[in-house]
Amino acid sequence: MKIVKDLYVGESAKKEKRKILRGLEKKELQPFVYVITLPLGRHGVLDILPAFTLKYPFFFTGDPGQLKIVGIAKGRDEAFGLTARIAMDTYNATGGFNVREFLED
Amino acid sequence: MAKKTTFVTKEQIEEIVKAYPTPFYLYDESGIRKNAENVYKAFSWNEGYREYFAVKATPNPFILKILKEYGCGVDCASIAELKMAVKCGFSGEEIMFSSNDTPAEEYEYAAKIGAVINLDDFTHIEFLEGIIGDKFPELMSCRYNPGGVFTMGNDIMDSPKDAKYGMTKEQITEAFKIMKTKGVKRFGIHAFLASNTVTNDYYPTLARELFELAKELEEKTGADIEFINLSGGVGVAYKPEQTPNDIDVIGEGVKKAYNDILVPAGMGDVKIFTEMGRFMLAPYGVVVTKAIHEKHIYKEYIGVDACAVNLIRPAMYGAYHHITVAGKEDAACDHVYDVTGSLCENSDKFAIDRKLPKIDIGDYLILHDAGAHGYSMGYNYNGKLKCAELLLKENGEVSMIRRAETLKDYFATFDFCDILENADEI
Repeated sequence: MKIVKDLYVGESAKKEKRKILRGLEKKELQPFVYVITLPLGRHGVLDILPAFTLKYPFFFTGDPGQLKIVGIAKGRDEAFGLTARIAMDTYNATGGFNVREFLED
Repeated sequence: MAKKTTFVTKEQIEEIVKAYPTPFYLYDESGIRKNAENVYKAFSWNEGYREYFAVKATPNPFILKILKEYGCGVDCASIAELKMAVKCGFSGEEIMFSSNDTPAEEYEYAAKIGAVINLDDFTHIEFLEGIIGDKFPELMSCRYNPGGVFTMGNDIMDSPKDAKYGMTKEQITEAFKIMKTKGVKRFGIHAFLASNTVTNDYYPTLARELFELAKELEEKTGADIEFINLSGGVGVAYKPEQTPNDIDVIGEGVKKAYNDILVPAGMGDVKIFTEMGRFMLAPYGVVVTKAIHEKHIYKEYIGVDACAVNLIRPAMYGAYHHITVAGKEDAACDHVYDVTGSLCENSDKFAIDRKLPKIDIGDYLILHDAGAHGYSMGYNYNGKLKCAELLLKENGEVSMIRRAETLKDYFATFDFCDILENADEI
């Protein structure tokens, strides 16, 4: 699991950013925390996952070690809002929705 | 091999069919009552004991009202079951809402009527919060799934790791901690690890596992555990060669586990709940059907007027339901039949290669142990209609407790337009 340098962080998640990141590292069961990741497969733009699913490797078809976390949010609604923000930023910057290229660049 | 007997005779059936045509379900009121009494006696050592009858097993309000007289609550899994429970006079903590993949409106209604909500999944805490807000009910329960395989001795009973229900131990621990912050003061634990067990050891084994979990949860979370719900899983002897469960032995086994684990931990006030839908009702309901055809091709077939619409378990699971030919209880089983229904579906067979007495057209066949998960699992394939449910009362009278479906019922979902108007009358 990797976390991008310019991580998107939701408003509520900001208050607990350090705790959430520590929890992700230790694979703790963090209720209400969501991560936004680049999809492991070739398809899709972004994935929204409850953070605790990172503990369950069987959940993923690829290697969860390769997961790239691009955003963290507290609560489902915030996760959706943050995802929309990432998509809009990508569009505004590149005119398209290649989020992977935008974030990795 | 023990002989399976039934509670209704050919003479009684001949009287009943004068008023109610076959097929029909027939329930034995005195059997239901005696069994309910025995269940409560077996768990009388536990002050707060309650059987939450699984409505899904036999969703009939007349049956629910009989069980209510013994102090039973109800286990509901849908809004229809919740509403039936309320109309039958069950209220508040007499209703356990154990659902999974739960729609928001069902949680909302369960909370509104004060039912005990049994959360199936960790993510449902947030989901529920979105519906009822940050303030949770004072009493809540969580469903546990230990994963792995559930064994007793060398026998694999079932495979919880493959079951969709419940939370992991880590999840249930966190769930209790979170729920405490949301105002929950009293907690319950629920688990269902194996279905239709025919052994007196299932409940005691499950109880030991849950009692240990309760101790651990109380230590780790400080949650006040008020009840442990052993759920269902206590089965019935569908086959003659099976030895029926002995509820007294089961109750004693759970008591021993309770005294070994909970009492020394200072948890001797924990209430034990059960949800034994099958055990409470299956043996006390039968399907009565008439032989209407015989067919001789590569096998011998008896066609009856019931079909999988009335009792789907044999078609769906290959489940065994014993068959008695009314009036031929003592006749030699010297013929081999497939007993079939009329659906355009080859699995619509109540018995395959079953040794039975010679069956004649017009004979009444009694399909045993259909009192639970029988009528309730029915459907309407081929436009076949569900039959009536009757109650053989303690005084020997028979009363209808659900009428048979009619074509009008079948066509009713088109009543928003006139495309099938009066189709039942042509």
